[in-house]
Amino acid sequence: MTHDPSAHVGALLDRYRTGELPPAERERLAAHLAECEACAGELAALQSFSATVARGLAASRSAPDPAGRRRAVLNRIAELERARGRGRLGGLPRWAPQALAAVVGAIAVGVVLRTGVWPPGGREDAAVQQRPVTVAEDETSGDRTADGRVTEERDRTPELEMLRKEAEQPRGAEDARRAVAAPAAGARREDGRDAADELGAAAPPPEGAARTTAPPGDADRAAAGEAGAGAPETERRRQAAVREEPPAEPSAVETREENFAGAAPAAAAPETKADGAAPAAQRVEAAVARSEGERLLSVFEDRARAAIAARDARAGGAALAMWADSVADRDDVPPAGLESGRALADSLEDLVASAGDRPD
Amino acid sequence: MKPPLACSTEDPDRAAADEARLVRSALAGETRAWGALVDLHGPALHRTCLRLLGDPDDAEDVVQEAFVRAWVRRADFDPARPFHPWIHRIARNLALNRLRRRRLWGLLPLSGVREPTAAERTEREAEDAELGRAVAACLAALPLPLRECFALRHEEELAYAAIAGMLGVPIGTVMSRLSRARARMRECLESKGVTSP
Repeated sequence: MTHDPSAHVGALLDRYRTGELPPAERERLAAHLAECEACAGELAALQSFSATVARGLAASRSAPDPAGRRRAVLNRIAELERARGRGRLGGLPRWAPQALAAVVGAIAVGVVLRTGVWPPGGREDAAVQQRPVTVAEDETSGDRTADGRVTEERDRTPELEMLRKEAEQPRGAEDARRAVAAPAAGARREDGRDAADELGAAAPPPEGAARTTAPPGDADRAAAGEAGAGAPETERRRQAAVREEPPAEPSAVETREENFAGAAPAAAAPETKADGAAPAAQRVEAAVARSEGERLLSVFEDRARAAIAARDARAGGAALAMWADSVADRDDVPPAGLESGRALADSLEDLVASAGDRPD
Repeated sequence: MKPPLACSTEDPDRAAADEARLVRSALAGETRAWGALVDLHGPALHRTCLRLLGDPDDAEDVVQEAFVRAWVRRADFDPARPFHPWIHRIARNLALNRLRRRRLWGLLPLSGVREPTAAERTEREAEDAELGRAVAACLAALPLPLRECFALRHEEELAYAAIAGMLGVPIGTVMSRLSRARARMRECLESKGVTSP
């Protein structure tokens, strides 16, 4: 930013006006003001302007009921705590069922991939009977070796990264279909089906899967609902949300963000509906690979770094919105991840603010 | 009615100590203390959010949401630091997100101008209400970064360093924004026939 002498002089007089200056500086300025008519006039104008503005600001305020505000906040917190209490198992954190499901799923996938048999020790035909045959399996089963499957298992994370990046880009239905037909997606769906079948009804679908099924436009409200479902202010909030967020035509930025939460279903639904594997893929993605929060954090970090590198305030603003709406208050993100995310969000704030500094 | 856990407002040191006590209690999960923090910081947050959003109901929604989210994330708060900048940052992010969505959906920003009420009967009240409408309209016309700085300085009367800390920008940026904001406000108010005495 270029140095602006008038801004410095104005700030000096303004800080003198409110008594913010250190004593020595204040004395020096007072001595100068006694001699300099122009500066004294500037100070008088500033004082008069500030008084007028303060009067106008005071007259244009609305004063909501403080007791009502406190009650509303505490009611929502009580609801939230009740909901969190319900989500705990014997004092375990809320993500414990997901972690448990992930471990069970990973073991199950490992067993199946290595032996091709489920349950462990069971007969091959029993496994075949229990696992519905899908298009993906038709394309790959029989010829694939156990080693090949293990390799795919190891490669899952980079593949998911790639899919996530694809999902970030707006694309038409044709592109979405192509993404699903790609080997990576096929492998992912197959993994998803296997593990989810093993998880079965015993493991509840993780929270992330439920979120991914929300229609575009509901992600924010879902996030808000997570913080305070059933709150007294919910109706007004919902009305405000409807006013602000017409669900029919989501914008490009919001669609991208919300599609991330629903990236897998958006891309996979047309192809996987037939064999019913899409929900399984969603569940296993959330349960086996990483938590929803970690995945959202990863996408946020990619976007934030890209925006910062390109000094793109608009992209930075979108990433910042994603951080505040979808990542910052999740409790399935490790503390270290939240810390690094927050640092990136701070940098984005600077980026957005510095864009506002440029001449309009 | 005065809340039972209110902070002292007469002695700054005492007020800070009271607030630190409140924050400690609230961080330990005491919702009554959290309620007192809502009372203590809510009005200033609402004023700031009102200037950002231009709509009192939106501002109130954001303030309430900020306190709920802050409660959820209270483990992240460093009790050695002051509470207000932290809660301000949360509310500000929520308000900025709301603004962005509003822009994305093509909704026009509200002017922040309320209609005169029946209570504004006296001449002085009528004058103030007129001045209030002019100031609010001019403020609402400022670009967001200027508007935010101006409100924090001239409404909340925060020090330059505090504003810089809250917004995460260098103090020189605050000086520059305030200088530009004041120039524009002067110009706008004059165009509306408002002159400083």
